[in-house]
Amino acid sequence: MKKAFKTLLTVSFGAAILFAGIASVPSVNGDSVEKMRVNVEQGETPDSGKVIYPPDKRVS
Amino acid sequence: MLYYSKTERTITVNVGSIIKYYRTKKGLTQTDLAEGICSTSHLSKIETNMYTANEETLNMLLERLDLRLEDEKNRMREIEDLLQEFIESLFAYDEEQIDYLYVQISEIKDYIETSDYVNLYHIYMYRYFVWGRMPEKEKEMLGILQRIKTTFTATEQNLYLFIQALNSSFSGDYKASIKLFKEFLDNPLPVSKFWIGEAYYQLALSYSHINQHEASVIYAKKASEVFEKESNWKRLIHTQMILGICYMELRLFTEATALYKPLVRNSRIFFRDSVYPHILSNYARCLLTSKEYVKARKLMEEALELLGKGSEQYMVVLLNWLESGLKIDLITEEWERNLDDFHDFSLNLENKYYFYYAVYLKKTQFSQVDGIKYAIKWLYPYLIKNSYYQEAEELLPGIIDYYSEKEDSEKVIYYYDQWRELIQKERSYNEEGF
Repeated sequence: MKKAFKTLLTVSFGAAILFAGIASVPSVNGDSVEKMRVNVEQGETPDSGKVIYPPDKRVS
Repeated sequence: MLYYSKTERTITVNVGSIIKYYRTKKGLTQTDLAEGICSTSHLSKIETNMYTANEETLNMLLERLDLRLEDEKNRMREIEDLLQEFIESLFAYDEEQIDYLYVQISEIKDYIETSDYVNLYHIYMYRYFVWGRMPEKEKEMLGILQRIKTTFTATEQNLYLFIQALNSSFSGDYKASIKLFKEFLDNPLPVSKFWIGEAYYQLALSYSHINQHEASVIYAKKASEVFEKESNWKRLIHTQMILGICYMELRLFTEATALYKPLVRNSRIFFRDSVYPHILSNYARCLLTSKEYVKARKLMEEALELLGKGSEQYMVVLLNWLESGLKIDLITEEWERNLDDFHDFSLNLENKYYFYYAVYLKKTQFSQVDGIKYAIKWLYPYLIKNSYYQEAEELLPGIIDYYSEKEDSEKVIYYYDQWRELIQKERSYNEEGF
């Protein structure tokens, strides 16, 4: 009886930790992923990547 | 004309066009004006500049319109000066003056159209609308330019070539832009120094955009010389920004450091509200490349304070800041908050580049393997497709490690080959630039 209780406790703890782990992983919003997928072929690409080029037009 | 050097100044007055302009302005018909002086058909030919009237007729016509030829000559000189100042302000990026002169020029637009400056007026206005982000007016003016281009003088044709080159650059067709700017410079026609300086600058910019940084350095140095002589400080700072990017890409860190120190100081003093945070960001990127993380992060934090949240430039700095945090294992609550912001801003901007990076960082934060898997599927192909070779190269060690651990030698070889190709591409680009 005591052993069964211990097993149950271990399993419960395990499940709780697993659940907490899953809950803490940041979710990537499915809709926004889809939105971006749609825009993949149409959207703009930044012209500079990880550097900033000087402005060539009026800075609005 | 005004685009020649100003040693000798010859003013041409199209008397016929001026007569027509004032006659219309005063509400007179050709018959009204010609009465007692010449025939209507004769006046018609004078007005279209098909016929040069004799002095006596001309004087009588001018007198009836209450005009003096000398006054008109002076007015032409004023127009010449005004247009010259306008284009110089545009090249110097002198915003306030540009807008002020635009209003002045617009007020006498009809008069300018009677003069020999009509083509230049349209070329300059087109440049103004492009600079000012006025797509509708820009389109309208381009239509006019295409219609009148048959009337261009040789020099005007060359300036039009310059405009076309600039357009190619703005639309991201850098190879076409390089070809056209070189054609412009090869033309042995006399144009003012600031056109030449700007052409060099645009060549440096285009070469840098297509990863030919060595060629870019050459043209940036030529542009600097002109801008220094012309005291065009704003463009000089812009040119140094390009040089800084090139030195970093070419891993010339000594040159980069020597350039950035005075550049950061000068831009802080004179351009704090405009390019200073951009320069801080580029310098930080350079320091990150040479693995000086702490110093780089300090500069980026200063830049982030100054930039508008969610702007394109803000995103560039934030991405570098987030990546450097991940690299030195500085995952704090602030880092996580900033990553969430970065993700949301990427959606607001509808920008795939930042979006892919945001998801990649989110995944990497918790599992390196998940991050790499995502990079293989989405980020890496996107970077390659859009020629972000430097960024793609940064991902390759992680991808190769991942496949090595999985003992997938086929994939390891494949990505090593990609790496080699990227390095080769960089080298051939630079050779091509010469």
